[in-house]
Amino acid sequence: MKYYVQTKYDIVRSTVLYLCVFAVIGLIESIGLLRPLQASMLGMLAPVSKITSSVVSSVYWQVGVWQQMRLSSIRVTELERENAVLQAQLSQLETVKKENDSLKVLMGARTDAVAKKSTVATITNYALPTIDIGSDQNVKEGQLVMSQDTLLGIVTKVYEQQSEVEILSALHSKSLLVKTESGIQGILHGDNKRIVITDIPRDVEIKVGERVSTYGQQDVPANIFIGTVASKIDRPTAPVQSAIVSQPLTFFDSTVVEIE
Amino acid sequence: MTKKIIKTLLILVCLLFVISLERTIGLPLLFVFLTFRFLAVTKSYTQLLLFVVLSLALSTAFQMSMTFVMLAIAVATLIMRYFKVEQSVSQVLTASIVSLAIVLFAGIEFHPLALGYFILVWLVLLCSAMMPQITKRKKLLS
Repeated sequence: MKYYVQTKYDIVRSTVLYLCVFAVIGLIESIGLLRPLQASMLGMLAPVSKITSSVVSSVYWQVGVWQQMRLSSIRVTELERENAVLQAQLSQLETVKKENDSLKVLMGARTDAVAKKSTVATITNYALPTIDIGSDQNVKEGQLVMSQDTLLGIVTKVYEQQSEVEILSALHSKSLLVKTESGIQGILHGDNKRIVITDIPRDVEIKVGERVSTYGQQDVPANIFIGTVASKIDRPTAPVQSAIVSQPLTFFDSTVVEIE
Repeated sequence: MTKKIIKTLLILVCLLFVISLERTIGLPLLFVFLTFRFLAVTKSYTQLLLFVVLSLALSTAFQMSMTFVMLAIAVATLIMRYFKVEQSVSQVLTASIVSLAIVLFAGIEFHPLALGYFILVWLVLLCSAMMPQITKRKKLLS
């Protein structure tokens, strides 16, 4: 590579020019004049982002398949066993559901299922989690981002044609009240790598493998599945317990999500 | 002239795909490297325009301060000029440092594929950087 040879005068002139450009850009940025330009550029980038995000997700899926190939036979055996247990539980639940329905009919209650109000969105960016719908589709800050009935994150910033999502492993803007299947309550947040439940009382025993779901609070309905307890964080001196939650499905595994 | 315009348009389309891909996984390594290459081979006014446009594209894609991006690229370019870094290997190293700084300051989440992409880009850039030296040595030996 050859650089253009510059005289002393050229160097001084170009340095002054660069400093002027820095000052002008800094000024324009500080008064917010760059934002409309950047927003329109993001809009132009959206179709290309859709293509690249689908390419990235398909490559990621393929890499995952190669990685899991070695462990697949053990995993299949485990899943078959779990499936047998779930089938047994399902038949019991069907009986309970029938009983429940007939009781509702007897009580004269309405059994019409209320249609869920959800909007489907495509993920356009994994690094700065972004979806392809925004205020043009009535997306609002604080709405839940879900996939296959699993909570993945919360909408934090809404633009005209896209919205930013805070995934659970990086959740800082909101504290989520959660509960395990045995009824233990805690507060869920992210530490940028993992999903952590904190403020679990010391006198209760949290079990690894327990399902974790939302407890129910303003804008967050109860009983939305989040994941399972993967491990406990052991700090003998801490006044409360903490645990790490793992999700069977993450934001990175999805290409399409639901906004509720 | 027409050829030059077509070539520039093709480069811009290529850059658009590169930045979009890197935005998706959260690592602007190749884009920063290409920026250094372009800045090194262009004349002063074109260089300034290119510098502003590429910084704007990078700051928009990674949603961070344009002044910071411009400063990072300018400092790296100045350092490279001061130490007369003409070897592509050193440029790859500088591009890696700058892109990692951008990732850290922008608070970007790495996609699990980002590490693989980092290694792949490094290997490709290193191979392309070593190729002229290998052919030069072969010619000297023969």
